[in-house]
Amino acid sequence: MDAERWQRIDDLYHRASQLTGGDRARFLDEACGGAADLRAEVESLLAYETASAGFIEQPAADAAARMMVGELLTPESISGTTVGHFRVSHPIGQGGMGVVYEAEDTKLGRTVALKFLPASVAADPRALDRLVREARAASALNHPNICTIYSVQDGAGSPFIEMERLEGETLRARMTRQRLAIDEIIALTVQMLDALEAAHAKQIVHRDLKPGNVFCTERGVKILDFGIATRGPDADAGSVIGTAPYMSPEQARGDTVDARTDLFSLGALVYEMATGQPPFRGDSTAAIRDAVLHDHPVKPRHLNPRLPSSLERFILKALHKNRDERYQSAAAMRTDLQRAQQRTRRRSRALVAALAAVVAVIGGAAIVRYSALGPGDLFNANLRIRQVTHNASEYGVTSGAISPDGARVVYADPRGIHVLSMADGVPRRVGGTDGTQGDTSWNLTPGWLPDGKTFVANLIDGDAASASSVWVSNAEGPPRRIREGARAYSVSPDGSWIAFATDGDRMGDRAVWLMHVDGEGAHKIFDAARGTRISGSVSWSPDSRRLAYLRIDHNGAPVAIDTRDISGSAATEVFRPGGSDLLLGPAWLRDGRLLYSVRQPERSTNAGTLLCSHWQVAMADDGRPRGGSTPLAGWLPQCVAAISFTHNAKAALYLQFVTQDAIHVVDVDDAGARVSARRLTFTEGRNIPSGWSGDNESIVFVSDSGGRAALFRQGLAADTSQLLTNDAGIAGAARLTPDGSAVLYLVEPSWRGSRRQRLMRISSTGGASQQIADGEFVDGGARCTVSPVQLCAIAERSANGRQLVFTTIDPSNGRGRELIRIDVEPAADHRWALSPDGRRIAVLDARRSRVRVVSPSGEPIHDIELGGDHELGYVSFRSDSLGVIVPAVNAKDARLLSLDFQGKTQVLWQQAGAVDLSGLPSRDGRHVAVWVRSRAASLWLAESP
Amino acid sequence: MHDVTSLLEAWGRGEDGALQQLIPVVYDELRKIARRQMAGERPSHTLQTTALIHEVYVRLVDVPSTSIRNRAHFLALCARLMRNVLVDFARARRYDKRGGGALHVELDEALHVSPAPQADLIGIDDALKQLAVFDPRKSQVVELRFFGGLSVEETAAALDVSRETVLRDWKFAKAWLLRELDNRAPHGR
Repeated sequence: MDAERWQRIDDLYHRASQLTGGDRARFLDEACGGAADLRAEVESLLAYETASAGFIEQPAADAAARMMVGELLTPESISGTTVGHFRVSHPIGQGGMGVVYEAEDTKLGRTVALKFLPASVAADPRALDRLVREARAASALNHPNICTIYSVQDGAGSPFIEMERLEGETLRARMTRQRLAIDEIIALTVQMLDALEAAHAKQIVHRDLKPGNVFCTERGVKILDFGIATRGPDADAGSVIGTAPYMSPEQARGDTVDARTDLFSLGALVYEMATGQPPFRGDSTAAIRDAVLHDHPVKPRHLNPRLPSSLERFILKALHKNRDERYQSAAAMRTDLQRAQQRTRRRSRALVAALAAVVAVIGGAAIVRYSALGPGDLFNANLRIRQVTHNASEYGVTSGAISPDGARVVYADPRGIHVLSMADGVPRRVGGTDGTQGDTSWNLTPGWLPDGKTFVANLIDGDAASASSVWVSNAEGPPRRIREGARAYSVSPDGSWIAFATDGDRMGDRAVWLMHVDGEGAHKIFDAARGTRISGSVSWSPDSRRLAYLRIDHNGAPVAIDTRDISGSAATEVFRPGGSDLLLGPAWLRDGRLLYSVRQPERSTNAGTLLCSHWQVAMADDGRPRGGSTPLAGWLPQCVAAISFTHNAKAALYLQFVTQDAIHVVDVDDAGARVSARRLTFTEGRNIPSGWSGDNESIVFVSDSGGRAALFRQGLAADTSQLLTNDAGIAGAARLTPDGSAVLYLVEPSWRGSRRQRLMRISSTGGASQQIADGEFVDGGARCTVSPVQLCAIAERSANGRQLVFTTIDPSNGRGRELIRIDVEPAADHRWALSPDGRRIAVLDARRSRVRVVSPSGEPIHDIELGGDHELGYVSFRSDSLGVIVPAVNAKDARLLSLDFQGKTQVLWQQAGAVDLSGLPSRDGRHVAVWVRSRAASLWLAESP
Repeated sequence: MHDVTSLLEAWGRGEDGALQQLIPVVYDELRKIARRQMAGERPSHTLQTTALIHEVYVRLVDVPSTSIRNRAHFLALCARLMRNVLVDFARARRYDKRGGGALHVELDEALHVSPAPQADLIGIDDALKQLAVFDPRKSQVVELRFFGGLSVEETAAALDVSRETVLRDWKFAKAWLLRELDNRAPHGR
């Protein structure tokens, strides 16, 4: 190009770019004259003027550095590294939007999934910004059927999304594996609709619902990638339009999307679940888009004649091209699905169960809709969390409270009361349980007086407040008693009153009283309404004039949170949960907010921790809420007990339980009496023994210590165990075959809607697994005799539920003949055992604490009943087949008993604080593998940075 | 420690062999910084790119002892070095030529992305070579600003032109470059 011409183009470009519209055209007409190619050149550059405004404005090193980070994040390089406070474990999935890793949140000690965004997104600041904004919005979604986004982190150049770790398979995998039954389709659809309803209520549209974004877990459906799979509505038109086979016509056209877009995609999903193929197909994306826009899908019943016509109408309405003709909301769609289902109800008994699920879901959804409120101080994603006490499980902390100034923590454990200075972290015991009568324990729920120097404690004896007493200590010496027959709830913020209970029963307290800190001036302020009780937590308003408390019914189920003036005037209801949700709280903060928590029954973590959603509501002076409740999205994921706050609400102390299993080996003498014992497993998580090897030298057990359940084998003298299999969905119940050569274990169905479990066999030295039977087994899988008797059996419930049907199982060939039927109570929870000699079957009715022993021909042999309030959790036979081993657990004590049929009882294990026990004798009768589950409780501190 | 300063000087004198030794050193340094940022040692909302580049310069080049006394010249040399390093990096990584790293997954689950105009380092490098033939100054403006991470003022000083000229060249070069890349892109936009 000649320089003069280039110079002229440069000049014309700049001058024309100062002008717009007609002015620009006129200028170019004049300046270029007849030089059409010159004008075309300038105009073509001007055409890029707008598009190039943001082009290369970010320095190259920015894109390169992000690419480098992306490169560093290869599965090999990132596994085992630490990113921020996450210890990344291994990749668990890969999608269009990046690689997902399992990781441990070292702050919270929980397992999470991290999705690292692809370098292409990370390198595009605008796309990244949009994505981060949307993921943050989606992180406000708190719903059992939505994969929870915990946080979005920049990761300094390697942005990632921290989310709930899910176990299961995608709907894509699920559909590929097996055609879904109608009731399963309905159950899955209802859950997806429920998730969409919750999201749409918050104006969040998924935009890319597809089989790969739906996860089937044991606890139901989880929808992934809300708002992060695609760009937002403000994205450049047509920049991303969803996944071709599931995209709506409006997406195919590049129009704006709304909630009804998701309902179309859901319709396409239901179509595929019902027929095995997507509604719109084609050889190319363009062809599919064309089909979405113009074609009518093949009628589902042509592809699946078993589909009810009502369900077909439902699908076709969802797939209407015109969104005004579709279902207008997830709720409307669900209502219609229920109707469709009711019409087909007579045809399929199984549908009834699915409908129950529908009702349950609707009941549970009621609490999810609230308007937005301002952000909290302590309750944000930058929470710092640390463990304050480190007691062994035998001495688990029972309660604790942080002083209003945050300087000290007082806590109780079975050894007494301790005051811990936060400055040096050293605990000092200020009071024991010495000199007190009976089985008493301290409780520090009432906590500190406003001076931060004096605390109030309860000495608890049993469930009733009337048996307890209230004590006060100056934190230097032992507490002194201020009132008998009372249990304190809390101290008023002005320090003038202690709220307490005097009377109550196992369900709760009947009345709330006040007294001064010296125990004087006690008076009752109100009685609980007939048929209701007050639960353990009573919290004061900031002005010390009102109380908030949890009202429960006589079954202990929460009814509502009320507030009431301390003069005892009429109560004001603040919040009433939907359904039978477990409610925790309330806690009234000094800034006027009232906090409460709702347990999420669908969710629990590996360690058995209960998960809660936490809520806040601003309170007016008259004890009424100012508006709706809003979720505390950045607060802890779990339900917390015994929570206390500092005055400025910058720190909170709470109790956290961790479930811990240990397998011990107990050596027994010829008479079956315990001689000695040692602990075999030291890993965290669940460890459940399955049986003994043929040589009695090793134990096979199921453990989830590695993050997911797997079958291990460990020698009695060994420190470490050998992995046999980590088959997905492996359940705790595994048993060895009579000669000990193989293990029969159970795999739970990986998705809701099916109850069929698979019985698998694997060699006890490991290797490949093989399915030998499937069904719905009572008390987890098979039981076997011990060689030379060769017999294994399974138990199933009869169709009417009134009998347990025992069937033999051949470890190689599967089901054999029916052995026996035993009449049982239909609704009861049954456990059973087969004696080593094959001559007895024991059936335990867990609710009635009764064990029936019968012969394989059905003759009753023994009935064993344990008195008291003990619960019998499991049953196994002694090695001589002449007695059973059962745990007896109540609130105070846990023992493992060996009961012989002559009525003699021996204690194999005793451990206060254990929550579950079982025993499996070795083949030679010289040892018993004892499984002990305990819960260690510690105090943790959550602080705002 | 590599004697980066003398390598840089050698390269500045036209010894091409020096570049081959420089690239891996700078590349490693970039990676180190990227890794540190990833590990959250210096948590920040975004990568502070300019700071990052300057950190590389500072860490690698012993500025006081260097004979490159003219700061503008030094920065221009760094920008040229960075251009080589980054383009080399992009080549090595065979980063999608379209620059968007368009997601390529199977049709069934495909996301269809039309990327916003952004950096295609290899394409820009090629186009810049072409631009340099008939307008070296515009090509240099892009090199200094885009590859070197220099500000408008630093660029003006390095080229000894006015701020307005830099802005004018920058604006024109961006439109021209984007048109070039667009016409070359195999899939169009």
